Amino acid sequence: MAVSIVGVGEIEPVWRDDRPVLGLVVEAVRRALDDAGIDPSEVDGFTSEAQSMMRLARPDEVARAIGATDRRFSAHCSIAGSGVIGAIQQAQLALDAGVADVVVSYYGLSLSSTAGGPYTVHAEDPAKASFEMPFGFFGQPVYFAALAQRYRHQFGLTDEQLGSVPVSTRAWAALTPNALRREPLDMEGYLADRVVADPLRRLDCCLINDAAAAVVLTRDDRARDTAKAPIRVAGVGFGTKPVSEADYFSQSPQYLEMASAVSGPRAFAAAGLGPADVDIAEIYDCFTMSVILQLEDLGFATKGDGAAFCASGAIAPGGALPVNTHGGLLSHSYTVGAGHVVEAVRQLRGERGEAQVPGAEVAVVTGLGAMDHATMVLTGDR
Amino acid sequence: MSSTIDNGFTPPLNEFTRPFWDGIAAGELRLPQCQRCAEWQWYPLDGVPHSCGGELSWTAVPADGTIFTFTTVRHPFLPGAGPADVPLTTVLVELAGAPGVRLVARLATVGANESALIGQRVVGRFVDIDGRRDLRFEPV
Repeated sequence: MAVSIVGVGEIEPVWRDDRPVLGLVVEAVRRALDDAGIDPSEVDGFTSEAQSMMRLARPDEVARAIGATDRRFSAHCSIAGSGVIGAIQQAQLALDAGVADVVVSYYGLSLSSTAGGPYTVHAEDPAKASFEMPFGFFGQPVYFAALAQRYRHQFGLTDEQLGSVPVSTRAWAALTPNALRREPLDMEGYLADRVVADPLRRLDCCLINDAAAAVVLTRDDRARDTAKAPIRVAGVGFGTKPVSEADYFSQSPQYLEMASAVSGPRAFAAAGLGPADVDIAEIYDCFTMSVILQLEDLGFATKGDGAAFCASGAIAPGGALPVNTHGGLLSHSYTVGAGHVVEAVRQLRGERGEAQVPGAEVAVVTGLGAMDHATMVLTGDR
Repeated sequence: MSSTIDNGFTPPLNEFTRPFWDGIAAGELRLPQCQRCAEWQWYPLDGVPHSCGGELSWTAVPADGTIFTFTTVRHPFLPGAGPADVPLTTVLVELAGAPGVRLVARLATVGANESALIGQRVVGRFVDIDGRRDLRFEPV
């Protein structure tokens, strides 16, 4: 039986929140359940990203915090964005199998309390520490700058093409009241920004802040009496590159393809839909380069044309394929993709006010985690 | 035993990663090669043979190849690094003697003609930095 997202919640975007991650997650979960009109005691399943949630917000703790006493199903998936979307696939599978009836899927992080910030997870890898860091290959901006240089060599890439991504994304953030970065950004402002690793500027990189978001899922037999229109999980695809996390950023074969080249077709096949059916795309934008590469992998542009596609205005407000309609990780909040799911649901419900894409019925949401990638197709009332 | 490098970053040497740095100290680039099928596995997995079942052996390979991609790093991302440690040019080198390997390396100087760097042949030189052996690549 079909599975739908019936509630979404996020903590208000904030640069720093002194609560531990568990506290942030529990607030997001409570908001999502309020949004669904479902009592917390009805939740019997929990899924989340694996790498950090297993340490920072375990399902036993979340269940205890909200008063869910019959935790029939728990699962963790992958790392970062691929785990956030992959966890929704796990929820879908559990619900479809009848193993659980109401599943909460969540993610949260506190970078303000993480020594070394977002780089620490890479510094802790012994292979990276011994084979990469001594030669200056360290930090996510460096990994994506190396991708950008190869892309430039193979296909051509101008600073203005790169800059079209943060400029478009900021335009969406300006229409979103709770986005962290809403001040206007034009190409001149982008080009004047400081380069951190050629050719990437600070504005090519996501925000660094504390965040949490959650969604509530159930089967359609239960979804009929929820507070808001259910948004159907039409298909989820998970894909990987044949490398481990340690060697992904230096050794990945088909270097300019991410695992989205695998997960995208799987998600579309599961949904019985294709790129031409998509009204909005919420694309994991840890960096501008990841947006360009994923749009190509998913079939919205041919390989090598993604940068020109972004620069054409297609992804901006009023464009043919609105992308990251809340401002994404670049300008809204660094939710590691959980906020992309929340935004897609709100768009498909028609709740987005000034940022509403008229007639949006089909959304694609993606999550990247190094060698892993997950793509989800959501549909509204069609 | 650990060694300090010019940007102040110390690689954590353990049984898993020590053979690489022992090689550099001896003036050789050594990478893990399967003794059964001769494939190079970069990076190795700690305590695990090659996927074909053969044992991996750290084998000398010439520090000679072409630049696959690069970036000139202008912000000090490394732990403990400061403004004096940048800019630096880090490269992925496809080694002529180890098909399939992209070696993470550092150029001896900051890359000058950036657009022409990719495809450029480079060779590694063993250099003494802060009283310790290290490897830096130069265009030829």
